[in-house]
Amino acid sequence: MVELTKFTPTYKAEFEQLARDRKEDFEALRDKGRWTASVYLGPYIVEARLKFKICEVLKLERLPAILKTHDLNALAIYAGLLDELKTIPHIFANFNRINDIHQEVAWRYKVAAPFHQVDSDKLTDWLFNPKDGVLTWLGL
Amino acid sequence: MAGSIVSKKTLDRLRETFKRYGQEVLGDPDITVDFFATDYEGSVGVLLTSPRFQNMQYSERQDSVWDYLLNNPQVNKDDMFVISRISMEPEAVEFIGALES
Repeated sequence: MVELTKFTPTYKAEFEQLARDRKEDFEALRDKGRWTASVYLGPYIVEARLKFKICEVLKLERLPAILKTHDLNALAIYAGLLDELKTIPHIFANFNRINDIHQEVAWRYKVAAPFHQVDSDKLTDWLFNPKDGVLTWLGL
Repeated sequence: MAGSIVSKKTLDRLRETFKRYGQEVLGDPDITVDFFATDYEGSVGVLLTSPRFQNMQYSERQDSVWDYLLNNPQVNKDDMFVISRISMEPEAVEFIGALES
């Protein structure tokens, strides 16, 4: 039986702050040349921001427990953003590039390697590009 | 894992698109195209397999295929929106949840 009316212990304001914190963590890792870990961490900024957006749209102080997921597509649906996402193909593409990293278990176990700077740089663009970045679109 | 309500016609068109990508961008007419179900109904994941991915970084593979989808006028944009992720591997991998097409 799915618990439809249970909530996670995390508050809306905490998700908003969490997204900012993970962004700072992402930047700190990149500053230290920890490229591999930055790629693993980066998609969590999107996840936290979407969870904040869901609370905002649903006018809830805490996230419904059924949305305790890492699936960015599911979170975009419940944030009411899916239709809009499908009208902006370049951001849609970046969203799916990031989603693939987030779902790809292998990134958790990759040994740190300098050549992952390419991936970290690309991810930075997919996240923060002023025109097509997913987090730019999500207002972070 | 939820089933995925995507029509056979759409999957066939997507398969043709990715075959053309393999041929035109990677120079690999033998690229393998598989689809897998995602938790998100109405969408599919795509697994592309080609030895040409061997020398490309993860993010370069992503950019290569998405740039092709975004910029090629032959690509049906409505079809593109059923894709929830694209994974690319240089050699065959076994995966659970493959969709028949």
